[in-house]
Amino acid sequence: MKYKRLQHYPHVDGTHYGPALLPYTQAIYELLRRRLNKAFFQIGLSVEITGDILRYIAQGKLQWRHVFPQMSFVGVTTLGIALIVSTFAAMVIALQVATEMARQGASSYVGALVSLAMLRELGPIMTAVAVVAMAGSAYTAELSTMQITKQIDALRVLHVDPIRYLIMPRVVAAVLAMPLLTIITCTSGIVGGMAISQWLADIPWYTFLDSVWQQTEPKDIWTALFKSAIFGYTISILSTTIGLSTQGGAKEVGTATTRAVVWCFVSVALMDYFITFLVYGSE
Amino acid sequence: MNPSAPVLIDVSNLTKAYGGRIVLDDISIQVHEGEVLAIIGTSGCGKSTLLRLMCGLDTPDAGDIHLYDPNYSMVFQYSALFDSLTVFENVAFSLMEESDDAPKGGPLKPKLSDPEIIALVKEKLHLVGLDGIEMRYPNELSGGMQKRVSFARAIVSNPRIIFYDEPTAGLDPIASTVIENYILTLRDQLGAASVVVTHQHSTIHRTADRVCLLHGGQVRWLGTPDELEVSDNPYALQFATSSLIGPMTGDLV
Repeated sequence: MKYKRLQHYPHVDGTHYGPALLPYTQAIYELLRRRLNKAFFQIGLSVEITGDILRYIAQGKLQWRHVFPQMSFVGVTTLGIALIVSTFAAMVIALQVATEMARQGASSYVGALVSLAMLRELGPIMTAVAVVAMAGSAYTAELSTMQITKQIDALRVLHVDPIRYLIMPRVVAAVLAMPLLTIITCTSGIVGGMAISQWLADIPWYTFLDSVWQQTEPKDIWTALFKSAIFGYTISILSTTIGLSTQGGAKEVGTATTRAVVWCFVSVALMDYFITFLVYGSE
Repeated sequence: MNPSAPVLIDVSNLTKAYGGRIVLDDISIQVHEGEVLAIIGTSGCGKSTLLRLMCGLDTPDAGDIHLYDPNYSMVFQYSALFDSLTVFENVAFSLMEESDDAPKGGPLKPKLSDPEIIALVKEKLHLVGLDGIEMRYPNELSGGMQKRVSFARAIVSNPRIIFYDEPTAGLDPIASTVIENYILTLRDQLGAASVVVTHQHSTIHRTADRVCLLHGGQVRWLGTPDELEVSDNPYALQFATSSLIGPMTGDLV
């Protein structure tokens, strides 16, 4: 009976999976299978390209003249938006807790709260969001356009490996630039939180800073920097490999860019969880 | 063409399929030093696929491809210029960037000084009739000019093997003649082996030493341009006369 019902529905790709699956189940199964295939392909490609990058670095083939413009690009395009987002995020935290904590006599903890929130979570995450939106999407759009207009083929014919020439400088630049951006955004966030605490809860700036100084551990700073570097790697490798594997035309450039942004956000969230679990899970 | 000249391109039993459709089926071709081979055929017959396989942009499903000189280059159908670089940087690209597939015997190209690179780039741009545009970007040029820049980029390192994908398509007759002349110049001066994918009768007759007609994934006819005009092979006859009657019509109408 089920088999007869199946015959009324066109198969997703003409493949029979037997009578056991209902048509909608089969369609969902097919969709998941394709998505998983694509995901595994992308992860495999990223791992393979990472191996190539490490090999090139070990061979001394990293060209800083290609890396510095990319660092400049990541910094210039991202800094403004990263500063705004992270500063306002810190100010919101201060806004929500400073008055209440001051009323409860815990003024000396507001600085620590804002500082730890920024360093452990908000600074790296907000910087990553800005880098994905500004630099990661630009990487995918640029590389996928180069792919569909045969510029990548032209590189290969001119005996230049696109991984060394295009991807390696972007990955290295993002890994180096992200921690620097995070330091700036965390500092800006703490200053923003301090201003709000002073303004709304009359918490003196020296009390706020003393709290920051007392409660922040070097581990928090190193973790923020490490997280940022990992986020930089994740964003740059995904956005460039998705760009490099684009096929088709203008529509596919848009699709690839959207996919890269989604993949980067999801990957950053997963990486954030695992790093936080490893560093702070046992405390 | 000298048939005793060494073979620079050797393609044997090449097969390639995309999504179950066989595009090239057991193709074997040799191109000698100082020879220009034109590959012709209807659209979608696998000409560009063959070219991509020959220059390593794609991998065959079966068969072998040997290039007996590592210094090869390609002129793309739609120029494929790097749009974030100037014309000068495009043409000088292979001279300024390190090669990643240099043979073990040494670098693919000699290391040139900056003045030498500038002089060479200006010389090649002059050869294709494009003086004084070094600092312009590709999107500031017409399609024909982009094509000529692409040609200058391909020949800047004096390659021994050159692949041309529709080198004169979209060019005015004078620019076409310039490109055709330069294909012959490279052949005569450097002994370059050239493979030209083209539909243009003028390009076939002015440049080719031999013509290879592809259809249905197979070589249907191979001969000189003059023989193409008088051949009674049904494929060659239909192509030469642009007739709607013949074995290749099924794909077109």
